[in-house]
Amino acid sequence: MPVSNILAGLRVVDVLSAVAILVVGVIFAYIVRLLMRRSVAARLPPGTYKPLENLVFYSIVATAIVLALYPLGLNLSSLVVAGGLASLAVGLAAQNSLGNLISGVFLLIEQPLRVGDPVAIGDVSGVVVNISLLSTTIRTWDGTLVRIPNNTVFGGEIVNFYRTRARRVEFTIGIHYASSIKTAVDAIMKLMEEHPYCLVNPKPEVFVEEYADSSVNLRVRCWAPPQVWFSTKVELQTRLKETLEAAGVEIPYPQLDLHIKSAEEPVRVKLEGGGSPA
Amino acid sequence: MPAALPTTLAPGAEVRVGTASVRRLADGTVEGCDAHGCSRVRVPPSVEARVLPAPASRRLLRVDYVYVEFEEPIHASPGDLIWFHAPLELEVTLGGVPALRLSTSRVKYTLVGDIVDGVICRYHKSPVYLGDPPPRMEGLALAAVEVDGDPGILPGAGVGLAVSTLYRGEDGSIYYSLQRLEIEGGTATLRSTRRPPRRGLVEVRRPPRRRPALHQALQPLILRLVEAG
Repeated sequence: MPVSNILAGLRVVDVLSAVAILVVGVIFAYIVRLLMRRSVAARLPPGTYKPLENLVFYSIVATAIVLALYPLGLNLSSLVVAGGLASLAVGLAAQNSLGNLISGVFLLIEQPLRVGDPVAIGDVSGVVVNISLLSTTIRTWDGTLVRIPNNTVFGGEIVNFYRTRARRVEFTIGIHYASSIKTAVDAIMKLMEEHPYCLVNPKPEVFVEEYADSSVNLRVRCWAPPQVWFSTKVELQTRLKETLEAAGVEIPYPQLDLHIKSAEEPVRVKLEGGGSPA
Repeated sequence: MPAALPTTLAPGAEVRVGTASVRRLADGTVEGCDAHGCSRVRVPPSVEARVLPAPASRRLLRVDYVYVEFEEPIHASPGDLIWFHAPLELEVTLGGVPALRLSTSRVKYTLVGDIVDGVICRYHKSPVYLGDPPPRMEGLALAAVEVDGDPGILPGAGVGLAVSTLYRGEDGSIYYSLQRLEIEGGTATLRSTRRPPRRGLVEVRRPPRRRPALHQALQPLILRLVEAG
């Protein structure tokens, strides 16, 4: 049915009914949102609650819009036909936005990330501060806000640092060849056992990773809850030096042994700013 | 003589429980210290400062469970009551408002379950006792699990903190509410009750707090058993 025919056959009562349905629907959506905020919000983590609220709110509004079309003699199938070329043109123009919208809905349903999660999406790394239907906002580690279209978020690689119960803290430290490996391993294990965030299970571990040019390299590993992973790593690395020094273990500088094959000829050493070689 | 909790701190008074201490200075300032640091809160002397026992759920990290590893695994049969010591915290309230949280023993955490679906728990290692409650240990609470289901060998047990209640005995010991452990098919599922683990205990009334999230309150702790033989 052409749109002009529909408009011509409209009665004031139908229009008023449609507006009333729309207004009631929107008011109902606001009431449901208010009730959810009072009763459900406190019981769910913010990262779970906010997308749920958005989903419920927009679903009610969308249903109200569809219901409001009926008194006007319109339904979705007739709208699609009536739209014709105009719909196609608008659709093409809004392709990106629609893509973002659909990705946004999938993000809210699947929830690969939540508000407050530390994440890396492509080259952007930071904490999620908002997930709307069209875009996701990340506060990067240096404090800037980055808005990423949901298409990019959903279609790209998302690394979520919170979606695991524990994260491994890992680093390498070199000890002198003259120092005891056992003493060093025992001292590092004690440091990790005394640290509250180094989990008992999975067990922390220290092992020889490499006999390198200047040092015996030890690999140090422990697991920590993700929210304190960085502080645990920083603290362990900071305390490791004094722990090893207290245990009598030396951390060497890079060194090079010089072997002189023939001692018959004197070694010539040139002094900077001096006279002739000695 | 260990402090009897809950207690009120007058200016100049001090309470020590395990590794934690709470001191009230003459000007009313409250200072709390434990193995992980000290905090001070300035408060007028007229405001009441109370020290209460609290579940070991808030110091450093917020957790919903304590996992207690037994010094030796224990054979558990249905109907057994297994006792062990569990960590405890102190809550200092100022005029009824929670102000400080201190641990009465060293804080340590562990993961129960796997990396994806496991639960981070407060960790403690304790001797285990069957039947009668063990003697009081300074700075630690007492906890008991009632075994149900199949017999099994338990390397440890848990205490649910989100919904459990604390009780006080006549000698001043603090008890966690009774836990139920259902053993089935090589795993043990822990659920908290609000019942006292023995008779003659008085519930410790604490200031009202935010209810735990629904998913936290209903999530049971799944423990893996030591394989027999």
